[in-house]
Amino acid sequence: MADTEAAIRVEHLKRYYRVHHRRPGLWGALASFVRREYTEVRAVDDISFQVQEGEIVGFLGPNGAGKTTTLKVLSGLLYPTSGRVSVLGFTPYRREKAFLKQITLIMGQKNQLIWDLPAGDTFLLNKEIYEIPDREYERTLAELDELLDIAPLMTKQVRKLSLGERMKCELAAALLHRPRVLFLDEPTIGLDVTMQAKIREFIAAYNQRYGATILLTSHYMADVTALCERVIIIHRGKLLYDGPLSDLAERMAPYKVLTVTFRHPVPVENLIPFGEVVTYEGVRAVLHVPREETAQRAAHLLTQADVEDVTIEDPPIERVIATIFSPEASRS
Amino acid sequence: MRGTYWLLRKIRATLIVYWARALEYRIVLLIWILAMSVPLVMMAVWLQMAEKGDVGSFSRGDFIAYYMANLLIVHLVSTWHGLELSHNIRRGELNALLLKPFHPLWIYALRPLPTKPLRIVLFLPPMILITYLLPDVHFDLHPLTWVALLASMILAYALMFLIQTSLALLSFWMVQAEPLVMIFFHLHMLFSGYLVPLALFPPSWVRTLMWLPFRFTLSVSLEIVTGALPRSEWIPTLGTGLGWVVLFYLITAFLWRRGIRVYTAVGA
Amino acid sequence: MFERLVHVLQQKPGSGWKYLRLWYRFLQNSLAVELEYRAAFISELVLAVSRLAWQLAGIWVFFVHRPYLGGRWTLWEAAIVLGLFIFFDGFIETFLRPNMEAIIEHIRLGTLDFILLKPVDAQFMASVRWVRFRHVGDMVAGLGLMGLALFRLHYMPGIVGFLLLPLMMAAGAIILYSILLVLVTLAFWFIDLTNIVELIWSVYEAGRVPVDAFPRVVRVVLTFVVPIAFITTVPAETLLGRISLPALLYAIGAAALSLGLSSLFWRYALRHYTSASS
Repeated sequence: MADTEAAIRVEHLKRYYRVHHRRPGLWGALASFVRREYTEVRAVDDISFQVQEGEIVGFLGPNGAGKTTTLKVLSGLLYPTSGRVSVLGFTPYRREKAFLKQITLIMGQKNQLIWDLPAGDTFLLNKEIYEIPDREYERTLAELDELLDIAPLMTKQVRKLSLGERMKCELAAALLHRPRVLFLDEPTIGLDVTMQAKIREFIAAYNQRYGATILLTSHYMADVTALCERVIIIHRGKLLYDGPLSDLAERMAPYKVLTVTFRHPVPVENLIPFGEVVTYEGVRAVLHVPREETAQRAAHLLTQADVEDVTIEDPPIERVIATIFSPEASRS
Repeated sequence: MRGTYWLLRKIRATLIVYWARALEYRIVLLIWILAMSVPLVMMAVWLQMAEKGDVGSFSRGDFIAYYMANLLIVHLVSTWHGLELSHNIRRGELNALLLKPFHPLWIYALRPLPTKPLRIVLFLPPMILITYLLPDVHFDLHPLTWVALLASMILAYALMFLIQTSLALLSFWMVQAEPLVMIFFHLHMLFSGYLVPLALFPPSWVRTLMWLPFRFTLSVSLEIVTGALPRSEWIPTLGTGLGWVVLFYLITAFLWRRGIRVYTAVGA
Repeated sequence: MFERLVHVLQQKPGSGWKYLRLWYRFLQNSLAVELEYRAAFISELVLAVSRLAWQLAGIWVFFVHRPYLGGRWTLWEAAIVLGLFIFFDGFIETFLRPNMEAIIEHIRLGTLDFILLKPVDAQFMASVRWVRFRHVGDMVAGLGLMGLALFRLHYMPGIVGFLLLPLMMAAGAIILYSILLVLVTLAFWFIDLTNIVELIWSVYEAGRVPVDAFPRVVRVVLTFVVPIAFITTVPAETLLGRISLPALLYAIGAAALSLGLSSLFWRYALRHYTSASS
């Protein structure tokens, strides 16, 4: 159990499956009745990475990219088509009891709480299922209450809780056994902004307090920027990027965003030599400027025009991601 | 030893939770538990037929005794989870269960149990009343019979569960395992003694039916409680039933191990 | 159901076609949905056969011990009754139950307005909207059993028998529809109805065997109180040429009366509903 032993190790993971499809309408339905057509879907197509204990890693990618599939393989729900996977030294798909007691998979909007009963009842059930001794259970529950404020919610029927309250209880139920590895699939989906912030705070606090390894997928950049130092980008089953979030813009988008406000309107032709004019409103313009020359061109612009205000920023992460994913032809 | 200790605790916790859930659905449950029309229809016809004389070895009182015991016991030893399990496998809905260190099949086995006491509460008093009022209705109520009855009912439930589960597990490979479960239900209704006492089939049929697993999912219990099965035959009969249970247990375990590999865990 | 169609066609010739076209579209929709699950479709057909087999075996056992059921029905004559029972079971599952469930859901969710707002008669829309093809196999199986029974009896019904059979079956179908309509209409007041409907509906199981097979008390109830006898036994008697004129007239009268009463009840409930909401 050396410190250098990775908590999660994925080597050349592939996961393919077949899906049948048909044309819409009655005629298509009849045709598919007679002969089925299948396509092979490569949900995960040869990805490899390692995660150290205590890291929080974000998985980014559009829908159907393979993020959820990867999480399911890591939690033992799916067998890999090929490749090697190891989590905490276990082979996930063997689903050994000792393995299952140390992980948890939380999928946003999916309920494990029993609908018609108070949340506390599900907690007690989980206590038994995860073989948690009484004293440890009390302690964990108290700590979770501290972080999530769930004590008043435990006696109410789950179906009577609001979405945010339910999410908090779901999280608690999933963490009663203090897993060392957390797989979170879209944990904040469907929640309002305040709730999202609370969940993020909780995850960060949990990681701080217990040193748990966390893999998180999300649509919301705010989740990723708030929690993850490292991101892995998956698109069409392939790994496109694996590294620090801060480097993402630098690596993936070769430009910076220059926002300039002028004292008097400047004709657009004057701005073109400085960079790509993305927005032009007479007194205000947004330009994309090649990274290496940003300082140069900004300085030049300041001398050339009557500038009231200027800001230089990295392109928003969303834009970076979008750029990565749209002109796919140019990447592999 | 520790493993067994925790297993028992898990079973207990699961039963408690589903008991609480059943209480939430009191009304719906009540109505469902009252289902009993098909055996009553059959009994009515037999009674009319037996008006002028016994049918086979059954007098009118024998028919009433048989079908009353039937109505009570059939519910106690039944589960119909096969369709749901098959459905869950096809839809990839086992995920939540697979993530837990508790075999998913336990849930399917335990879930129907909490509703059974209700059937006893509702059906036993009228049965006692009818038995008391009608002269020709007899049951074998010796203490030893209770033991044999209990054993037969446990075997019956286990067998019903395992056969259905084996069929449902075929859903790992087949898109349409549900029809197989349904066909099993049909065969079960006919050959388990639910519709018709097995002794009333033609003698050539009876010889085979006595060995098939269906008999052990209900008829044996009814034969014991109505006194139709001689005491000397209890052990061999229950032994055969146990043999069927063991066989289907092995089949289930095999299918599960193989099936879970090809499980697609769809349904994000 | 078809009677209503005829009635509508007579009233407004143009809209008659509209209803027919509409119904055809409903049919197409439902069929497309079913074909999507093609294996389910085939297996339902297989299941219909299996269902037929166990049900037939169920009544065959009676004949191992006595030559007649209810004093005058042989095995294959009783099989006609069973065939009708299975046919109507399929009929209910195919045409009636999907709509029943839809109506109860609409009432529960308060979306009945969608139906009421369409420029089509609400009862028609509600009653006929969905067709569940999956159970068509039962209807075919039921008819098949009847045909098989006739073959085994070496009996060919006369013209009268052949003509009267659809009439009696229609009467039976109308009585079925009316009973279910009443049960569903109750959902306007008692929303959590589906289970009680199941319970009450289990009486229908008595239609499996000729009504004569039952003890006298039960026979009376099944003829005058809950007229299950009319749904399966009477059409069978008709086919076998054993029906008497009074019974025939009684059947037709019962059908007309039950349809009238149940439709009135439905309209009353609808008025009550629309005046209550918003």
